[in-house]
Amino acid sequence: MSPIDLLRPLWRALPIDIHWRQRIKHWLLQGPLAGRGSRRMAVLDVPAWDSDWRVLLPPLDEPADRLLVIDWKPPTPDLDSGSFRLRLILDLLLESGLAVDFIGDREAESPDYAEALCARGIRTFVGPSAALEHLIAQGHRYRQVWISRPEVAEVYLAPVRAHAPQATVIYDTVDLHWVRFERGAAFAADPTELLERAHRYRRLELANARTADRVIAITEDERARLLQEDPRLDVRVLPNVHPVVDRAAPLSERRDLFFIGGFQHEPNVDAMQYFAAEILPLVRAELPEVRLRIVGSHMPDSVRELDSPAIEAVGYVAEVEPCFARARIFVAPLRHGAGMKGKIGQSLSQGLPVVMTRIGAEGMGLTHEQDALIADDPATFAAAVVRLYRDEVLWSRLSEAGLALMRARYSAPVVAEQLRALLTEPPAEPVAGSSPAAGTGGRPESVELRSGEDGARTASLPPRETDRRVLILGIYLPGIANHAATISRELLGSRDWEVDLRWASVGTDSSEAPADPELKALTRLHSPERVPKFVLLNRLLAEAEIERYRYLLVVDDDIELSPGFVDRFLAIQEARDFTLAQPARTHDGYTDHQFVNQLLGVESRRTRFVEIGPLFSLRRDGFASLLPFDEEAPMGWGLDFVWPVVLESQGRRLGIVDAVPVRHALRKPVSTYDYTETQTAMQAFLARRPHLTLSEACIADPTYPLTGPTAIAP
Amino acid sequence: MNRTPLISAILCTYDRAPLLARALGALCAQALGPEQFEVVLVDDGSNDDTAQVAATFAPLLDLRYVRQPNSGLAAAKNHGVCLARAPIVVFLDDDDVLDSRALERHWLSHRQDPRVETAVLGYTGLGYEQARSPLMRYVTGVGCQLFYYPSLKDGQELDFSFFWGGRSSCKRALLLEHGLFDPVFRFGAEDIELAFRLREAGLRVRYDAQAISTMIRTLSVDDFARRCVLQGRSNWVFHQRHPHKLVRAWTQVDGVESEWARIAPHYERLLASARGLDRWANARVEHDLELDPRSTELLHRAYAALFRASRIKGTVERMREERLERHGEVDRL
Repeated sequence: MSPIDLLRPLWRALPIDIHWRQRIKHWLLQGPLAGRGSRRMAVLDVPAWDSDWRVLLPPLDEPADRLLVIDWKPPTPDLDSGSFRLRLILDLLLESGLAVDFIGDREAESPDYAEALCARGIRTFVGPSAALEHLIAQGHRYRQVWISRPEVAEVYLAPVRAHAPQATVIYDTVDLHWVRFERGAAFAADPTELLERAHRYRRLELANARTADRVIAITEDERARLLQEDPRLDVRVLPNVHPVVDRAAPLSERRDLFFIGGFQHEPNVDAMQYFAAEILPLVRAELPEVRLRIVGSHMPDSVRELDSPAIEAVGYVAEVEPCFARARIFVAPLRHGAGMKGKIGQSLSQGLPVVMTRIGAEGMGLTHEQDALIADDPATFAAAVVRLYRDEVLWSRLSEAGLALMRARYSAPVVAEQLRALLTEPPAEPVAGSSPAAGTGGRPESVELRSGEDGARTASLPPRETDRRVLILGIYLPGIANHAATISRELLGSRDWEVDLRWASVGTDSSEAPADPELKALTRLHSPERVPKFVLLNRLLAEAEIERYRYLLVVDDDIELSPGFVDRFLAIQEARDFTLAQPARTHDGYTDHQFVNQLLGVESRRTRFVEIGPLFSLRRDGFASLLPFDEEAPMGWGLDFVWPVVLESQGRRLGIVDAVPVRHALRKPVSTYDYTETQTAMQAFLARRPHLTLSEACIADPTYPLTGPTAIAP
Repeated sequence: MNRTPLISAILCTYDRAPLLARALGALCAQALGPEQFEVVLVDDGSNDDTAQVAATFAPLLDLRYVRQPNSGLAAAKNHGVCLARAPIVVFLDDDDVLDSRALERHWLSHRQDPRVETAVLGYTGLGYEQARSPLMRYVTGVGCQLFYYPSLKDGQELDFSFFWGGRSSCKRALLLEHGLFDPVFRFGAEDIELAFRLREAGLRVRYDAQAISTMIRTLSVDDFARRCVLQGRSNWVFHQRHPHKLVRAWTQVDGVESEWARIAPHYERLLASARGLDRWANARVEHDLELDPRSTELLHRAYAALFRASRIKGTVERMREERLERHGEVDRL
């Protein structure tokens, strides 16, 4: 264990808050102390947390089966239509049997509202710190998290993703704020401010929508608008919910005009000022006794001051149903705003006909003359009000049609079904990474071995009758472990070539093990003294009629060959026209030159280098220039830097065959003779011969890609 | 053969033809003349238009294009080294573009320090789009799981663990004499494993902040998590090959099995959390909204946890596979 490992628990135990922790860590890792010592080690990951998994791994035995709703405050249904809507949605959720919790970012106007939620069995948390603490402790319990409003989503989306990653996140736009602000700009004292706000809200609302798994639009129009901005979104429509009365209160008891709205919502203020100034006088010119009654929370002075013989500015009213029951016409002279107007739905669901602007009618599927009267300019609006006020048949028809529309589209059972679909249908799969992770040249999957045609293999071999003879000469050390017998069996198993294998043994056999009889039969020469390799080879060569053979192969006794080695190797040497060739060496064996290690994707390569061992193969066209072997390099060292000069001067090619490597793992090279002595001999030898340097010799050009399966190791 | 070039750029690629075209384009704009350097382009078995891209650039560069069946990054790099003719080789990635002076800087740094065992690490920054990606910024500037530049100083001498693939150069002779990449590493750790062996030969890495390249690919959370799994797998193999304390520290394989036992049931959750927060961060960046410090902290924590868990996952997976291979029986844990 390193000192750092010992210090880590201490560091974790220190009572420092996370900001200071990060600062100290940053200073330690990147400050002046970090530069101490010139060589430093890269650490793979410096975590942004202290590697304490406890904070990230919740208990596994607690299911994610609850629903969390987050809004700016506990709903105040008697104060604003957004709250009214949310309260009804909460009721629908509870009715469907869901366990529901609620987070309010701030207190409602009175603690009663939070208590009302608790009374319904909704666990309620109010304020940002209570909310965060709850998410950290219980975030794993939620199957869905419902977040209302852009400002609330901005704060809570990240913590919800962090602490409730299993939850489907539903973002309720309530209405598209940016659309509302854009429209309001034309009527605002400071349009620039409102346009800037619209711009910011557009970005915020689209970012929120993109982050959520599912987005709720309140109308089809707003759904289309969202999809037009970002087609990747999964947008569902969930309209306002309205309890619909069975029958409207009788007309005979009704009088006057009525408007209700939360006046923290600016379009409502504008609507009242506009109506009072431009429409009501026209109405009263025809119907002098008719008054307007204005009800709603947060009524500003600018609306209160409208109070007059023509207007009754009431303000907040706890029970609003009697207002709808007593009024004759609901007016909605909205000039801007967005979404679905709760007040209009509420009025229609009470059977009270509405005269409204097109903005007011938006998103509800209302048809002029059929379910309501729609009029935009003051004169038409006023005329519609007067007409509806006087025409009882029209009044009754619109009242009935409004109720029917509300029942069909916005009643609790209908919306409950939409809500169920919205909660249960699986969200679209998250957009996963598009590109493979492998990085340059790599691929995570296993090697794909192509079973296609083996180009070199199918190249035509020389005629069997005349020129398929191979002389293989090998030297083995019977006194120590060797693979000579196995090598013999493999080489003699050739199907394509007539193999003449001859061994020379060097040194005495002190082991008790009986010699392999086959090997014994193949051993043509025995030298009790340590005679250098190439001297021995020349002695074996002297006894052979070398010109009868197409190839001469020289093998050591400490290599492992893959099955079918000779046939495959020589087929490639033949196809690539290499006069001198060697197999590459596997990566798991001993290597003298890195350059000859197997290239995995390569069949063979033309090179300027072929090693003197552990196996090389010389074609007949190289016999004259290389045989007998130059004994001035007795162990052969240095020959491999001279051979390319000799052969290239005659236009002949050298190469390494990567497709059939040999494994050289039994003995370390130079384990049976003296390194320094041989090295000195090589330098002396090279000084007298034209030769290549290592860098000159170890260049491949070209390489031939592998087309058959690789024999990775014997 | 032509005159020997000053430097060979070895560029291994797999299925990234569009990015490769940009990488090759940057090679056409080098301060070094096209006769002063060569490009060895090793196509590791691409299935896309890589060959056509190579053919397009062949007349503009001293470029050799070779193709091999997909064999992994280490094998491809070895292939490139064997073909290279210059005394200095620089390893480049197909998702980076070089600054016009980058090759010249690598060459100059080697001329200043001609010792065979000195390698040079260049600087890699993020492209415009990548620099906007919260993930890319995190893995290069905060968690530093991809690059570790913030703490390096120009000219600083570093140890083997900084011989980062795709942005380092060395003398070709160093590789010929002391070691090539081990092809067992198909992705991850192949560079550091080689460097660890070269350490025996006295390898030192000199940081040249002027040898600049720019990463032009943006990884997703899933990309990077997969990358960490592969890295974890390679780490285990690396550690098995070299049970040395430096390798143990670098590969972070200590205690991974017990750590994984704790994390495994939560891995999907860690993935979901990082994906969700990354989606949040990307959505805000896309709409030019700032990331507040608290949420950024949560984002970074989620990244850190996922990438750590993924690395551990890879290490443990490989470890268990190896056990299975060894015992030939189902490992029950």
